Amino acid sequence: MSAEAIGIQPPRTGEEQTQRTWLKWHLYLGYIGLAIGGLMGIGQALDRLGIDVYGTAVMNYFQGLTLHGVTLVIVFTFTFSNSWVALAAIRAFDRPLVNTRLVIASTLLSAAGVVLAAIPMLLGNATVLFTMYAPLQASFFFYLGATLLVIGTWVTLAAMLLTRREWKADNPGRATPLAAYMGIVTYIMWSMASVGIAIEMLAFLLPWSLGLIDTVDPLTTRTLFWMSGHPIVYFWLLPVYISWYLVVPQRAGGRLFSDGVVRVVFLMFLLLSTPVGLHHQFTDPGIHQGLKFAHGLMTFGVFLPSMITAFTLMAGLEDGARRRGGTGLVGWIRKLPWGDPVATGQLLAMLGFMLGGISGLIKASYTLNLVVHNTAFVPGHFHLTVGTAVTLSIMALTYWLVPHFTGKALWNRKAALAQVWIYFVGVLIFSRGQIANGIEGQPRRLHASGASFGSEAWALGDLMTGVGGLLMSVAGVLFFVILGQTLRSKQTATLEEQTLEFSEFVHDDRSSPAVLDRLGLWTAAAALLVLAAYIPAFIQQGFDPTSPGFTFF
Amino acid sequence: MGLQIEKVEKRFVWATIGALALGVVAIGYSVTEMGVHLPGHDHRIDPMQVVRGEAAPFDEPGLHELEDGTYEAVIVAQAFSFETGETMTVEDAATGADREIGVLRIPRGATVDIVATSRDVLHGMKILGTNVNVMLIPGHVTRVTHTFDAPAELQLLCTEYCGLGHNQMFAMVVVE
Ligand code: HEM
Ligand SMILES: [Cu+2]
Ligand SMILES: [Cu+2]
Repeated sequence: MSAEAIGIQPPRTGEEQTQRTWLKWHLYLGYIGLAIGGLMGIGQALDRLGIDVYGTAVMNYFQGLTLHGVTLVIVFTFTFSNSWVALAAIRAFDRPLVNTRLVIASTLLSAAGVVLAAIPMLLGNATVLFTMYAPLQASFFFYLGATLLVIGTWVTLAAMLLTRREWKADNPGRATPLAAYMGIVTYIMWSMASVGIAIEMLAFLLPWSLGLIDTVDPLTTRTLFWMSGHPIVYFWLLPVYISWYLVVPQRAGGRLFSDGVVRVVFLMFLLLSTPVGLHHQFTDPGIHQGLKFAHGLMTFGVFLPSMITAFTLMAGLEDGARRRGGTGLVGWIRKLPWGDPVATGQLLAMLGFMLGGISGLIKASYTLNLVVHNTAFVPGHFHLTVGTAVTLSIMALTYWLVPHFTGKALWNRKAALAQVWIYFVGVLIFSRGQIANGIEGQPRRLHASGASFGSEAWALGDLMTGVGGLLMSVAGVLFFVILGQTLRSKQTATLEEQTLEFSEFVHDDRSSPAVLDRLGLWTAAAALLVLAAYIPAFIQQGFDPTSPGFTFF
Repeated sequence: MGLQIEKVEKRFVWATIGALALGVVAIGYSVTEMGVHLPGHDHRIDPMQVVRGEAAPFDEPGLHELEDGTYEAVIVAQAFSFETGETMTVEDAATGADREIGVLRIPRGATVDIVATSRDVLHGMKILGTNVNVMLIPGHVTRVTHTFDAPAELQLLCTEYCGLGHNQMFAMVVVE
């Protein structure tokens, strides 16, 4: 980090203040998504305990599950990232983004996307789940809403790239400040990867749902979806990695070792996140095994940057804990900032992510995938990743972000600490239940109370899923209580509480090779890898649109 | 200056690469030595022809014995049932009512080439207690081979959301 931008302070100029106001509303939009999705989660947890809230016909189970998936992993994650990553870039560049209109546009696109997608979901015209596999056909407006949400992320990238260009002109020869670098690389990765879903929407689902074309090729649309659908998980995760790298070690009083290694980690994600999507299609017909194996192999490669992250962070945390008097092989862990909800929530999220990463590697293991594909193992896995590593980190970061945006003091630090712990314990029980049942063959996307089939082997897992899920729900409610009370609070946050300092490095950006900053070069290399991975796949599977749309909902 | 990386971290990276390589070797072993295979490219088919019953072998669902003593099981999925050539009555776990569903009766020890497709939307097909777990995509033929060693009554479940009746969609495999 350069000397003048070591963290996030309250705004310095009026323009920056305006931008932050928009970023704040963008963030609040995400909390609305979290609230709706979490509410649906309560129903899903109760369903596993044999309490069928969907029998009452307010909404059917799959309509609820569609809302759960879309509002949590598309709305909540995207809007948080658009807000947090842009904020970090503003502070890293130490200037407002170029320009305010783009910041406003991004917020409005997200808001329009949410409204457009929510209406058909609530009316039951889009009960296709967040994967929206054709030839199930949803309302045109649902697809349009999803498209606008994606375009909103592109606009955020455009603003950051323009700002970087201006900053570079003023600071010739210097490396992009790390916090902005991480955000920009993340957004380049996603913008490139989202071309898959953009083609799926613009060329197929939008015209098809309007009646302009009659038929689609379901394997083509599915392959396009997963071309974006795997890298999307890194688009959820990497904004949180920014905080794991730059916020958590600092709060633990530790230093990170090498700025360059962090940049290399993000570049590895840029290169490897996308050419792996076929691992979601291991059990599909119509795709050659060799291609599946190649994507499976690349998936193992993308495990590496997360392992380096684990090492780097652990080293930084240990450094901090030892400086604070920690001793022993593991005893230093006690000296981590367990009294600070912002740090504690993210430390727990990291622990959850270890389990999430390992369960992910199991699913990616080609033949092993046959055991768990489309079983409850999958939600068991991703509630540890996006549902914990990402969500719990965002909730923890909220305890800083909201005082920062509003100037109001966090309502109750103890409650915030309890909140992150309850969520963590809940998700461990929940995922244990889901993973065990997945191994016993229980399908995911299961309205358990309404299913015609079942197995006695699922009883314990269902109980754990239900009980764990209810604990997560309690934590979810508590989160919104804390958020609401903080917003209503009359107590102002101290300057220190409003400021977020970034981690220091033993070897800062002056030691990092200049080639790491050649983002055009790395983007081109990443694009080549995507083409190498997907051109053979699309040629081999061919294209024959023979499927009309169906609405079995 | 070059990239700064701690010595221990370098070792850790190599250890990770080693562990991942070991994983790849294990996967290779499962394919070549244990004979576990994923479905691959078979052939395309017009789902509308399947609907009209014009596309072999899907015009005749059910278990067929082939000349070499092995079996072929033809299955057609649609919202919300599996057509397997034969039906049986089961008690629906949700409603408690009796219901007719598809059944595949397989002689014990038979090696069965399962050939399946969908008439409408995406479905999944997982036979509990086995490694048969595949996607059915309209326009494509899914093929998977399994040997049914022990007598059993196995549930064959739809594992991909296909509409509001998705959790009613299952069939039975009876190994006798
Ligand atoms: C109160 C907390 C939560 C509970 C009780 C809960 C519960 C569940 C359950 C039981 C399922 C499986 C449903 C099924 O397959 O039939 C599910 C699916 C899912 N959950 Fe959650 N969840 C919670 C929070 C979250 C969070 C925070 C996220 C992500 C940010 C998330 C993302 C998802 C996604 C993407 C699915 C898959 C939907 C689909 O299959 O289409 N959940 N959730
Ligand atoms: Cu993936
Ligand atoms: Cu189904």
